[in-house]
Amino acid sequence: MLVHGPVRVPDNARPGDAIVRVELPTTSKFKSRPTDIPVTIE
Amino acid sequence: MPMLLSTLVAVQAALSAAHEPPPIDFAAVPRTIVTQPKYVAAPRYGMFLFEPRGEQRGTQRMWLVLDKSSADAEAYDVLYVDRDGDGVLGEEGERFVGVAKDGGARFEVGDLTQPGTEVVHTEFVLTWTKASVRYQMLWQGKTKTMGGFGPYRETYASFGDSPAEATLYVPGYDRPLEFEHWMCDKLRVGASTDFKVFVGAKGSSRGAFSCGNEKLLPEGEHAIATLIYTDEDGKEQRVRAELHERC
Repeated sequence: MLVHGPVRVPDNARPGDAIVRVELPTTSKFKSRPTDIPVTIE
Repeated sequence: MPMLLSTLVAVQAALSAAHEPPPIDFAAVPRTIVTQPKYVAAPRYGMFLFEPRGEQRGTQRMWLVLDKSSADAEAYDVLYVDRDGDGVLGEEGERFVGVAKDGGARFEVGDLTQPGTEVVHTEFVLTWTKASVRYQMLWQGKTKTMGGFGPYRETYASFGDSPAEATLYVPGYDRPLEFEHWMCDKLRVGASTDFKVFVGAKGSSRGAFSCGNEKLLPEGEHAIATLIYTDEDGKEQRVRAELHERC
């Protein structure tokens, strides 16, 4: 299963390396470990 | 918030964090095998890691080793599963012959009792192809857990050539959930990307992620994705998005 949704890069972002940190909200019934996913902004 | 209440909340949060298992140090996981059968071909090594329960200490290991039924066979069509986790491979009930499928082999193992416990995971199936090794099972007979996945199909893991190079998987949901992206590591300035993530547990390599199916996170649950980037002035900025969709 994949969970997904739109992530928008703001107009003022500088191209290059960035991170998307994914986690569950504190209100979730599940525990999560924030996971840093390396991405490239073009 | 009154000081006493805020203190109690902080203490509860600290205790909760203290009880969370730390990330697995895969390099430190012992790779010893007590006894191995006489293999026909060059064996390929994988391992399941389970969380300890009750009085158990350390992560519970279960070796998975692929072999061939004959030296000239194309497919790895024999699977050894160290079902009792004692490191003695090839005991009665631990050798399985796969069914040929699309040039690969499919092993229907069935129930897996978590070593040292009475916890039973059901419908365990492992599939070998030249490109990768995949597995699935019903965690505690309820929710599907499967792997190994990576950010692109060509990154899906195979088993290793030696115990030291074994691919380690963490099936199930005993640990805090982790995430891996699926084909969306390139983002464009000023544009939206449909950011997709697997939900589950990291393995020892990028293509060894284990995840759940659509029943893992029920309706109403969602993930938060925070983009941490550098702006035109060189300052770190953050923008938050919510991932509500399923596929």
